[in-house]
Amino acid sequence: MANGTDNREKTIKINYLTRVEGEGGLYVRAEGGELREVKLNIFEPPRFFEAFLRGRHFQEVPDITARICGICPVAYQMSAVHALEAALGVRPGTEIRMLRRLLYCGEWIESHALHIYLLNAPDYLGYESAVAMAADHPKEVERGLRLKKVGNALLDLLGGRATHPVSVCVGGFYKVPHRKDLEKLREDLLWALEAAQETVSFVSSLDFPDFAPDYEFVSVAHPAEYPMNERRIISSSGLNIEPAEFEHVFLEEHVAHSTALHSVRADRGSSYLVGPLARLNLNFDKLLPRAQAAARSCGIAWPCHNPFMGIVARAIELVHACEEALALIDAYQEPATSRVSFRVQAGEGCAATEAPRGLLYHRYRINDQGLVEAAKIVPPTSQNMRRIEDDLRQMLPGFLAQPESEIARVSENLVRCYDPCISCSTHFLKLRLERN
Amino acid sequence: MNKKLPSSQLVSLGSNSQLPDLGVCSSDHSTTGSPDTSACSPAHRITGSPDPAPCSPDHRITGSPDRLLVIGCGGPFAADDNAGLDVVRRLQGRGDCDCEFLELTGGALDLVYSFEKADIILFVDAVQSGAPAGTVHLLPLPSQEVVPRALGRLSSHGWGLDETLRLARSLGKRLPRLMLLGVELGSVAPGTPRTPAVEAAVDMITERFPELQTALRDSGSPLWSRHVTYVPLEQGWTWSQTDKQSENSS
Repeated sequence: MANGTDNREKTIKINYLTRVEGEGGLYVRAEGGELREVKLNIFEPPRFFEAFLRGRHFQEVPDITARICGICPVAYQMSAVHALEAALGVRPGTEIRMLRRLLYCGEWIESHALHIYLLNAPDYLGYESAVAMAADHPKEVERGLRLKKVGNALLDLLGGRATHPVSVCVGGFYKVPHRKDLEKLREDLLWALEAAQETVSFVSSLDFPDFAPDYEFVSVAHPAEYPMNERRIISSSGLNIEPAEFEHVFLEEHVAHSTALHSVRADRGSSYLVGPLARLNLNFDKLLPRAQAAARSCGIAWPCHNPFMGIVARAIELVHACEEALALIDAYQEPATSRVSFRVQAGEGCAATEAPRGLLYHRYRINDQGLVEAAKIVPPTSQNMRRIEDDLRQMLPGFLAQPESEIARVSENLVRCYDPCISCSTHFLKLRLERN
Repeated sequence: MNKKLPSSQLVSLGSNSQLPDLGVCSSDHSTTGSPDTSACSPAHRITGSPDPAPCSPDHRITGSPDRLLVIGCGGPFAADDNAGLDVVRRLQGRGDCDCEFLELTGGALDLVYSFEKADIILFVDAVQSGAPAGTVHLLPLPSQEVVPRALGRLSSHGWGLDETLRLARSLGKRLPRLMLLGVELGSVAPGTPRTPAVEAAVDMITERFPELQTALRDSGSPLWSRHVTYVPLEQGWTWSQTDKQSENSS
């Protein structure tokens, strides 16, 4: 085990990908007590889908993009329909807007609950995994699982199927729920709201490393609402743009060590951060009352620059999502039609919506037959890749005297804070066969 | 290979060809020649082998048949990776299966909610073990042969079947009896068509599912104590089996 002298070269290589071809993970090299290289390669961009969508009819797009991510299909559908509606000049009415927010609440609840309890909390309680943590903290893990289930139930009702919502379409929904069906979820959501507040208390009591880089936070922003589907894009450096300017302001760069593209500010070449911490810092005043109260009383000063405290931001958003879901259900009026009709015309449109992991940008160009000619998808995780590397470059010099296992542990912890959406384009089980 | 393999011919290893191979305990075991499609009766159990214990100590003992849930897993755009989903759809298309079906394209964690709804769960998924493409595996779970996904600690996307099972046990949840039906993949390159051998495997599974269904409901079936593989050949399929590795507590 390494307790190195300064002259030792230390290499930490963590292989993450279990696919047949390719190799990816985290590579850290130190020499002479100095950090020399940090390379992160854990994300596969959806290039296949961008190509696959060409020639498809626009109404197929929500269904196809939902399969880019089995964990967050709603986000892909939301960014897709909003971008396509921008291209077609379609404006669904208020009830559909609200239903779409309700759908997103469902996805935020299930995604955040999963990340908080099963991926992130074990780090701060000293467990290697949620499996180990569950034996000692069954109540917390069960709460997390039950919260996730409530999110699933909302997705199931609105989206047709929890793991692959099928009801979303350009112009609205193929089918909308009856009010009485939504009301059946009230009791579970009331429980979830309490459980979410317990979650804020739970995570606020955890011990976090001291680390506060100078981030540029980026998120969607709306004049009156906590951001989900609309409208502009803002940053903590004063940016305030239309989605149409996104690709001029944010550049995707090829990096040699990765199949991924790293996003940076086009003008400065600097990294930026998207996700719950960014959203909360930039839109604090738009949180609903109970969420805002939870945020004010949790003992953390906002805006917060510590990525490890992203778990608290997620917990606060969990409260907000439960609170908003209840409000939306109470206010729900079944729309006269589940979707607006419109004329198909050629056009180009883009949109940014807030996936659980952060800003998700889509752009489409369609022809007068309604077929996709071009598609561009920029997921939140790819936007965060450079920022994660920068964090590691900033943080790891303080750890280089430690054993390699400790360097690996703290690196993984940091990466996990970002709740990375690793490509789920392959899914198969690996079997290790030992035959006598 | 590009040839479509005949799916219904099973090359038996010396046993009576009328007995479905799913019911035969071992290659050197005499068979009754009965057309009964049920799995081995206790009299046919291999001597000396331990009683195949059910995976869950508290599975139901009632007069009604065990509730069987078939869960197809996979990604719909990556060639052979959708074999599991396809099997489920084809089986639903049969219209005569005595079980429930579920398609799982998202995180495996949601499986934890399914554990209460069934006495037996059959997972159908693409697998990679190095065996020839189209090889069909029947493997009782949990098993040390299933490698946990390295991504599982980093991302919910890596949270797989193994992690979910271990979590359920850690929480003291009752686990149904669990079986993996794995189809060895040839390719997962996105957008590419199904490997012919994998297609033949899906055909074979669809055709012979009623026998499997019956065998699964028999806790004495050797399926519960063996890892059985069906390997595609030019003229049909051959099968082999290995003892299930004992599960060390972890």
